Amino acid sequence: MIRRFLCALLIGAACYPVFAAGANDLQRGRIAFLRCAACHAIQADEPGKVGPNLRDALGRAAAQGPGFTYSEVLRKAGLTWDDATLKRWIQDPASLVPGTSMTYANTLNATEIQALLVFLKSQATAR
Amino acid sequence: MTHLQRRALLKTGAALVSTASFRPSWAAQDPDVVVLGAGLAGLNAALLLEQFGLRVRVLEASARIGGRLHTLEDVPGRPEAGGSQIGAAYARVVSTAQQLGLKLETSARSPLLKDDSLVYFINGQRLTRDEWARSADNPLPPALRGMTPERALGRLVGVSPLKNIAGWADPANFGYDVPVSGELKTQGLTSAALHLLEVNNGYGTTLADTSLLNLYYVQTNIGEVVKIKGPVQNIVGGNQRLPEAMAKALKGEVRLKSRATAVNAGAKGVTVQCADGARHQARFVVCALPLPAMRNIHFLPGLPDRHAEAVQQLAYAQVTQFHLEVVKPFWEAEGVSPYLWSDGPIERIFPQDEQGNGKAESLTVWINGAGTASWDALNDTDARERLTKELARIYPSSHGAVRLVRRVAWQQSPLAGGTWANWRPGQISRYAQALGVPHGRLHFAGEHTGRAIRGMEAAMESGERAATEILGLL
Repeated sequence: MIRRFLCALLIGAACYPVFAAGANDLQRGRIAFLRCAACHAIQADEPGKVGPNLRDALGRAAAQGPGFTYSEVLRKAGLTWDDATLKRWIQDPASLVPGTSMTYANTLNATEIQALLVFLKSQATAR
Repeated sequence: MTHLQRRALLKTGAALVSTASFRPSWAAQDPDVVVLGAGLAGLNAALLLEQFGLRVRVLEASARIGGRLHTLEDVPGRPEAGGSQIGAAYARVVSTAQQLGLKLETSARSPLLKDDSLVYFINGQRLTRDEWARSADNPLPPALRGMTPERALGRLVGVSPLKNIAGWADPANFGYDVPVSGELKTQGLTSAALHLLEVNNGYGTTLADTSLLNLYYVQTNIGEVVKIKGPVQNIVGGNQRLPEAMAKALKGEVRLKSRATAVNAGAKGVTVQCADGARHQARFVVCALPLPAMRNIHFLPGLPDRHAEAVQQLAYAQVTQFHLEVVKPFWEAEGVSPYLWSDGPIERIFPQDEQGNGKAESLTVWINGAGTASWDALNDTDARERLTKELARIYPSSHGAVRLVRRVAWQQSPLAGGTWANWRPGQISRYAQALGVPHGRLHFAGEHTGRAIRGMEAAMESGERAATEILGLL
């Protein structure tokens, strides 16, 4: 039960073997999201975490969404979460926005970050 | 054979070929991944790998799950001998605990632990904080006299120049990977001040073997942790409940008393040989052991030179603790707190006041670094005798008012070798990049391979990284 709960929470889907799924971008992105999942929820009904829910963040203005108290520096940074900005952010958030409260040391390479964006887009609410 | 039968057979055959290509010589009972070490790092790697359908087996050398998380059940107040405070920024620790149904509670803030109640025992004299701040014997610079010397040391090295938490391992900052003693030379401190700054230094035994870069990492870490608003917490029932719950949530086995002695990696898989004669085969191994524990494992092929050197050389912090049951709160009669900072053999005392009501159930005597050696050399009887005598020098009415329940010396455990990686000058620049880099089918985790928040969170982060490395290969 706990295991199933963990899976649903962390990867947003039932457990399934990577062997069968093949190594496509979505799957790689799902794996890369393990590096985000402790701080960021991705399901609409997930409880809040240290960071904001990422479900509908892509393409939107940074730090403007409801339900999370963003750092002032990020609110004032005037960023929009397009692909290029997100890539820079994931690589080094503190360089893009000095003083950000996102504490993250990136270990994902460019291919993995690209796959992560594919996964994040796949999770977004249709709009 | 009908067309349909042939199709069915071909389909089965294809499935078999497919299976064979993933597990060329694997028996059904063999795991995909063997994890060495049932601490937070290894267990987090194991949990994440299982979520993606991999079969995992965890081998733990000791008879206990948790590694350097160790709740002392037999000591009143149930102190933590290992990782203790869970900050709001410890996202992985907190979220995993919550997902496993564990409860977190705000750590009680004991009135006994207030800064202004701290008792100083320096040069054989007992002083209140205010008395110490005004004392003619206080050799610290005037602005720093009201604080403990280790806090003063933090002020003296200045504000961390690291621009982000990962900066400690960035070659651009390796110029700071020098002895802090050199940095302090320019500040005109007396030898008495320098000596005092060395006592209770948790990041080296002397100022000469304390890395300025490591202190900046610690300082940046504190800055990052406090950015996330929220209380310091602990897990109800003891922090060790977390690794225990993680182990329980695994489908695969956690095998205790299974100490690896050799790890042999080939083209098709890895064999782990254990001291009990058992052999475990897997496609990958996650080695989530502290480096001192790796010293007793033969790796074939051998680890890359720099990694192998780090296994032998990287310093680990030395911490000796004595846990004393309070039979009678002796300090009350003396009108002082049991919360102590000293330059003597008993370096610090922390009252364990689980309820936060000022009634300490036990006291933790905490000795750091160089000070541990003289205690560790004593047998239990001699250590108890010395402890009683030294405590009575500070608190005359303590005689007969406490009972020694536990003695913990992390550096004496061959499975830990100390409390945490304590990078000496030059060691971050020499080893930080080499640790945590996969070596063929071997992947590495453990707090010493963490990149961001230190301690328990670093352990969790490292397990997460090792798991994603393996999953990314499949």
